[in-house]
Amino acid sequence: MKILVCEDDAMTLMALNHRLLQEGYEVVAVHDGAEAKQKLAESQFDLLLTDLHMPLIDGLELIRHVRNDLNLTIPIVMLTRIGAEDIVMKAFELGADDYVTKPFSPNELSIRIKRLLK
Amino acid sequence: MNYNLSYLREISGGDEMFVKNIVTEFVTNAPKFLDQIHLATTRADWPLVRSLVHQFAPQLDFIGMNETRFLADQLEDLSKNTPDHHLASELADRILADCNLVIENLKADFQI
Repeated sequence: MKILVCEDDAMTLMALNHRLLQEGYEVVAVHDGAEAKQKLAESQFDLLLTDLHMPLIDGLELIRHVRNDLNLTIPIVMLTRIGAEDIVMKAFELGADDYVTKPFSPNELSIRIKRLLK
Repeated sequence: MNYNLSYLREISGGDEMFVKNIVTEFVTNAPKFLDQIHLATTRADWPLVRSLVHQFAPQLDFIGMNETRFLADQLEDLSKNTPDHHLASELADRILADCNLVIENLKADFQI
């Protein structure tokens, strides 16, 4: 299973990459929405894990792109800070499937991803 | 002020090299952020302070600096508007002092 991870914080990206690789996923890790769009154009993924707050192209624009421009039905999991309910609601409206709050619980992340990839 | 790597070790799944890599990332990059936050606070550039603190704060979660994370959240919230300069500077100074102390401790403990 191949996961595209989009997160602008370098340390969080390292942690997500490490954890998902340990669980046996193939991971493509990118730092921003523009890079994620490029990877989506080049390759197929089984799941998108994306931060919502990113400079330039944010997570909402990325979700809109996946659902509306590319018409992809792959599961989308958002990463967000506690207290960002408004943006989470917008992301659900755009077609996101689930979310995990940061700092993320590795076990919770694992369970949520496994559930969506069943 | 000290650090707590229990969360980082939970993520690592027992991989101590990963723990050291993250610690090295913090020790290397935090001083640049802290300098920029200090400068932006001195210049009362609150949008920049807010942006920098927002980018920097997640690193404190990995290093287990919960009290400092709380101070950073306070500074980020204050910077949404035009805060009391003295209060914002005091918060920035405390964050800087906490981080500098922890960076020195991490360097010694991990022989970085």
